[in-house]
Amino acid sequence: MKRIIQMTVNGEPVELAIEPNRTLLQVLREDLELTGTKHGCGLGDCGACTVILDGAPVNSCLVLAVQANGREVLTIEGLEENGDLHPIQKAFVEKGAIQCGFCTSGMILSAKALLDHNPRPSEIDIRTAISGNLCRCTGYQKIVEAIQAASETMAGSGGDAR
Amino acid sequence: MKNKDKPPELQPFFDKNIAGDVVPSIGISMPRIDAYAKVTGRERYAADYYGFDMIWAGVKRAGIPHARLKSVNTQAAENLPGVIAVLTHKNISGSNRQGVIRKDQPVLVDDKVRHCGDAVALVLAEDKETLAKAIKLTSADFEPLPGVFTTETALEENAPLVHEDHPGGNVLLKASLEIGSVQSAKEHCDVLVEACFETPLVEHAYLETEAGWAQLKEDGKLEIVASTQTPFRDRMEVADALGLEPERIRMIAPYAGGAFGGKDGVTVQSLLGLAALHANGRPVKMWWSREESFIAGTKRHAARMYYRLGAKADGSLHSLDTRLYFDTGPYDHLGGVVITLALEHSGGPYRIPNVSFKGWAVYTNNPIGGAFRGFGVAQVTAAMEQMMDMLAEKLAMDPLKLRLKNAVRKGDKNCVGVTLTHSTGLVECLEAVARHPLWTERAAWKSKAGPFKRRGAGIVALMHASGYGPVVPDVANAKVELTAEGKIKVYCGVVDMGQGNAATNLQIAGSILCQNVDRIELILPDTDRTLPSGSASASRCTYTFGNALIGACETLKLRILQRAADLLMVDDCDETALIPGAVRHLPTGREIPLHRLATFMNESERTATQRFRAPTAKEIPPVGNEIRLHGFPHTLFSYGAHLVRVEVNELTGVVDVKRYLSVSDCGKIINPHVYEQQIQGAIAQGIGYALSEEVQVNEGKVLTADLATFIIPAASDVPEIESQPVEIYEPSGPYGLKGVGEIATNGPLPAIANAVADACGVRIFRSPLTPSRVLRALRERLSEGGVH
Amino acid sequence: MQLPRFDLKRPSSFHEAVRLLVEYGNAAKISAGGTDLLPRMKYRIAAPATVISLKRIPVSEPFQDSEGNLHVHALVRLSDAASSNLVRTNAPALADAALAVGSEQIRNMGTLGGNVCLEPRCHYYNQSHAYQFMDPCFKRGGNLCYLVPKGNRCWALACSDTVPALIGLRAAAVVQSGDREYTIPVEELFTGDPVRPLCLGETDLITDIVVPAARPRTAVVFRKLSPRGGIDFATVNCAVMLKLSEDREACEDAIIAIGAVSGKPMRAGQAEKNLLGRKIAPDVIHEAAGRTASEIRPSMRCDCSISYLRKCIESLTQAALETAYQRASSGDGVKPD
Repeated sequence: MKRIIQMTVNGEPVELAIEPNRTLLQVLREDLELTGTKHGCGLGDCGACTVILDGAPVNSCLVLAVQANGREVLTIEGLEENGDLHPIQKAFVEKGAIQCGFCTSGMILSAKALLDHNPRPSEIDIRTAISGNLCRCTGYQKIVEAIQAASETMAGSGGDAR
Repeated sequence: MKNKDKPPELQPFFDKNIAGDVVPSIGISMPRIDAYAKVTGRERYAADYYGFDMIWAGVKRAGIPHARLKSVNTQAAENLPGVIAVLTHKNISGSNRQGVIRKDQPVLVDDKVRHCGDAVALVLAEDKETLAKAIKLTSADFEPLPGVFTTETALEENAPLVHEDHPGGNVLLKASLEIGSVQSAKEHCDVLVEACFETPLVEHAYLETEAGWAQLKEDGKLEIVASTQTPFRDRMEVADALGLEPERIRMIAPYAGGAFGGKDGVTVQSLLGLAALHANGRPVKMWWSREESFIAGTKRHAARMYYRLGAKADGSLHSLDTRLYFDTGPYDHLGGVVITLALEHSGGPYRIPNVSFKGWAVYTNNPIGGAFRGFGVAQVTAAMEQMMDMLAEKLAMDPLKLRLKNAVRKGDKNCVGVTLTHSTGLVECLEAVARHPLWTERAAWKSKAGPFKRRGAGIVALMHASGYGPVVPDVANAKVELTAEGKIKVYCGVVDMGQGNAATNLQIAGSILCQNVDRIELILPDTDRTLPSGSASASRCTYTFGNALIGACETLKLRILQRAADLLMVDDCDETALIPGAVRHLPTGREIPLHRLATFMNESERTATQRFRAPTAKEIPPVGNEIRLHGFPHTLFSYGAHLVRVEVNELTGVVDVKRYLSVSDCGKIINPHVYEQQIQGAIAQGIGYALSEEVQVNEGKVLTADLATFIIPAASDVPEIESQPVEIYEPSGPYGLKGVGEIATNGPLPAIANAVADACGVRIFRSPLTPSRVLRALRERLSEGGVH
Repeated sequence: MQLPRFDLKRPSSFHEAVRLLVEYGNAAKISAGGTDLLPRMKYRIAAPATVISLKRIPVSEPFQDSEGNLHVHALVRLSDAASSNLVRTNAPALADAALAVGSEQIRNMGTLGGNVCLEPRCHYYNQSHAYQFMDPCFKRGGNLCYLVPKGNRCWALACSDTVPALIGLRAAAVVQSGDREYTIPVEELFTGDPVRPLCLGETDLITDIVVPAARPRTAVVFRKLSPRGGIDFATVNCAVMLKLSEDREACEDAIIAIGAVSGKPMRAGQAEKNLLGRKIAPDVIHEAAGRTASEIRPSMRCDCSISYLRKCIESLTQAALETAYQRASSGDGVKPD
C-alpha cells in the first residue's frame, strides 16, 4: 500500500506516494530523476549511493524511502549554490580527482560530511572517512588531495562556512 | 516523468566559471571537461536512462556449469500479470552467437549450458518486482554433464568437451614461438632458475555494472544505449546474432562508469536488442545486479605459468622457456588474443637469444576469461619479474643491475624477435628508480622495522604493447566540424570509460584550432554520428584516435584559414591565424568571426575527417598465421619501472604497502593529470591483484559474488603513489605520446612479491599474497630453519 | 536489486512492537537500522510479509544509573555509540567495537541492537541463489550445506563486532517479552546454531544494553582483524577483560571472547582460568594467547584456513591482553569513584 511521505530534498519540499519496498535511492533516481546518486551494489558495500540524511552520510540503497519521511536529504545535485560549484566539487575538478565518475557523487558527499564535522582532517582522517566509498579508477590519491585542498579553501573562506 | 522518451542527449556539460574561457594547450593539466558534469551528478550514464513507458528486462541464468538444455518452461512466468514476454533462443532469428574471433557464445542458450552465468531466457516486465518474480518462475530442464574446472583436467585425454564442435577440443588456441635453441642453450647457462606461478581469476569491479537501454524506433531502427567499450564492433555482433542488417542498429556509448576490459564486447547489447524487438516500440532497460555482474561478466584469466630461465655468470640472460596455461572459461570472448599477447610479453623487456614460449587458452566451465586491463601481460609479468629476482639472488647480483644489463634498448631485437624501432625508454626508467631515495636508502628504512614487522623493497621492469598488432586493422577515423554557429564539434569515435580520452580530444582540437573550451562540443561515440575508430582498449585510444584527430583538425584549420583569406582578400593564408571565435589577419588586425565565416561554407567544407592506422611490425617472427591473426607481434611498446616498499606483519601475515614509485616511458604527456590518473589507478588495481583480489570458484560456481567478499582496495589500503614520467618523444605518436592505459597494472603484483621476498626471505608462487598465504610461507620457512 | 513487497509497521514503542510481533508471528521481521535485513531481503534470503521498523521508537541517550551501570539504548546508532563520551569513557571497548563495524554510512544507519542480532554469514548463504546454488541450504530452510556437503549442520559465522566487546564487558541485554521485561547476559543470547542464532523467544526484543559499572584495575580491550581498513566483516575479532589484584600484578579476573570464527562468539574458558592468580608477564600473556588459539575451534570457511585463523586468534589475543594489562596496571580504564 502506498504511503504519502514528505521530505526535503536539496532544500526543496517533496511529497510523494510510494510503496514501502522502494529504497530512497530508487525514489531519488526513478521518481525525482536525480540520477546523480549512483547504484553500485545495492548492499551497502560500495558507497556509490551515499547521500546525506539529516547531516549524516548513509547508503541510500539501504534506506527505505518511507523512512526519509520528515527528514532532510542532500544529494550531489544539491551541492551547488547559485550555480557555483561547492568547494569540494571544485577541488575534485581542479585536482583531477575524477575518472569514470561513478563513485564521485558518493565520494563528495562523504567528504562533505567529514569536513562539516572536522574542517582540518589529516590524510588518515580523510582516508578513513571515505573508506566506505570504493573507487576503482583513481587509486584515491587525487581524491585525498582534492579533499585536502577543499578543506583549506573552506577553512580559509572564513568561519561562517561552519 | 512526462516526455522522457526523447533521444538521449550526449552533450557534455561544463562550468564556464572554471575553464570555459581557456584555450587548451598541450602538456598542461587542464581540468577534464567531463569532470564538471560528473561532479554535479548531471552526467547521464547508460544506467541513468529511465524512459517514459519503460520496460525492465532481465535474464534467467543457468545456475549449473555444464548441461544439455532440454526445454525452457516459460508458461508460468508468461501468465504472471505485468510480464510482457519471456523469450528463449527460439525467438532469435540470427546466428545466436557472439564473439570477437571465434563466435561461440550464445545470446540465449540453445544446445548446451557451459557455465553458470549462461543466459537461458530473457524476461520483459512492467516493473522490477514483476521481473524478479517472473525470472524465478521461469525454469529449464537440464541434463547435467560432467564439467571441467581446471586447465589440467580440461587437457586430459578423455576430458568432457566444452565445445564438441571445436577441432582443438578444449584447447581454444595454442600459441608457440621458438627462437634459437633453448635445448642446447641450457647447456651454456651458468645458472638456471625454475618455478611455477599461479595467478587468480579477477573481477573488474567497475562501479557501474553492465547496463543499457534500447528501443525499436518507428522507422525500424534499433537504438541501443550501452555502457560499452566497443560500439562499432557491438553493432556487427548484435546484427549477426539477431539476424539484423547492421545499418538497422544504432549503438550509442555514453561515458562508461568504468570498464577496464570488462565491457570490451557484448554484455547487455544483444539481450537488449532482442528485448526491444519484442517490446512494441517501448524502451527497455537492463541493468545487471552486482551479483549478476560477478557471475555472468568476463574476468581476468586465471593462469598457471611454468618458467625456466637461464643466464651466464655475468648475468646476461641466455635462455628462457615458458609454458602458459590460461583458463578462458567456456567462451573465446578475447581469450585467444589474451594468450597471444601474454606469449609476446612472457619474456619481459629483455634481450634473450634463445626462447621457447608455449601458451594454451583452455576452455573450462568456469566463468568467462576475457579482456582486463593488462590483457595477459599482467599474468606473465608477475612470473617473469619474479624470475628475474630469483635469478639475481642466485647470481648474488643486484636485481636492478641485472635488469639494466639485459634491458632492451632502441634498435635491439626483443625476445620475440622484433626490432625495436620506436622510442624505448626502459633504461631511463630503471636508472630513475636506481637514483631514487626510496631505492638508495632502502637498507636504512628496512632496518627500522618495529617488533614483529619485516620490511622489504621490490622492483620490476615493465613493457606493454599498444594496439591490435599486424592483421586486424588498428584504425581510427576522426571528424571535426565547424558548425554553422561557428563552434567546433569533435566527433569522438573511441569510448571514454573513465580514462579521460574525450577530454584529451578536446584539448587537442582546442589547441590546434585555438578555440576556448566553451566553443567546443564533444560528440561521444554513436554509430550514427561518429566514425568507426575501434575499441577503447589495448592502450591505443589517444595514440590512434589522437593521430587521426590531429590530422582532421589540421585539415579543418587550413580550410578555415584559406576561406578567411579569400574573404579578407589577402593572398596568403599564412598571414591569418585562428583566435578564439574568429580568424585574424595578422598584418592588419582585421578579423572575421567564425560564425560569419561558417555562413560562407557549406557543410561538407566545414567538416574534416582523417583516418589513421597504427604502425605494425614489419618482421615476421616464426609463428603461424593463426597467431598473427590474434595480434602477434607488436611494434610499439611503453616501458616502465616500479618500486614498492612493504612491511610484513609476522604475526598476522598482513602485507602493508607503504610507498610506491612508478617511472614510465609512455612518451610525451598531453595532460599530466590524466597521465597520473592512469598510473595511480592502475597501481591501485595492481595492489588489489597482488594482495586480495580473487574470484573464488567452486565447480564453476562463484563464491565471491559481491564487494564484501571480493576485496578491492579501499582508500586506506592504497599508499602514496609517486608517478614520474620519462618523457621521451615518440615520433609516431600524437605530440610524441604512447599508450599509458594498461602498463602500470602489470607492476604491483611482482613488485610486491619481490618486496615480500626481500623482507622475509620467502617467495609465494601463488597470488594473491593473502595474509593466510604469507603466514603459511613464514611458518614453513621457520620450520625449515628449525631442521637445519 | 528490488526489495520484495511487504507491509511496513512502524510502532512507536517497544511494547507496540512486541504486540505486532505477537500478531504477525513468523511472517514478520524486525528492522532496526536495516543494514543487515535489507540486503538479505534483496537477495530474497528473507522475504517477510511484514517488516516492523523500529525507527519511530524514541532513542534515549546513553546514561549511567546511580550504581554506575551504563545503559545504552538498543536503537542507538553505531556511530552515536562510538562517539558518545559516556560510552568512550566507561566502556571504550564498546566504542571501539562500534567504530569497527562497516563503514561510516553503515554506522549511521545500523544500531547497537541490530549489530548484536546480526545474522550469521556464509559465502554460500549470502547470495541471491537466483544464478547458482539453487537448492536451499540449512539456513535457507533446506537440508544441505554447500560448504560441508556431507555435513548435517550450518556453518555460517557470527560476525558481530560489538558482541565480543559486550561479553568482555559482562554486559546484559534487557529484553521486552510480552508485557514483561527480563535481563540476560549478552553472552547467553546465542545458541551456537547459525540457523537459529538467538535464544530469544519469537516475540522478544532487546531494548537496552546494560554495561556494569567499570571496576578498578580493570580494562576491556577490543581488537579486529579484517581484510581492509574499513567496510569489512571481521576475519577474527576479540575482546579481552583483565582485572588486576590490588598490587596490580596478578590477574584477578579475565575474559577472552573471540568472534567471527564460529556460529556464536566463543569464550576461551581454559585460558581465562589459567590466568587467574597468575602474575602477569609477557610469557604468561603469550601462554594465554596460545591456549586461546588451541581451545577455540574455528569453523570451516571459504576465505582462509583454520590454521591461519588459529594463528590470528593467537596474535589478536596477545595484542589485546598486552594492551589490557597496560591499561589496567597504569590506571587507564579505571573508573574514578
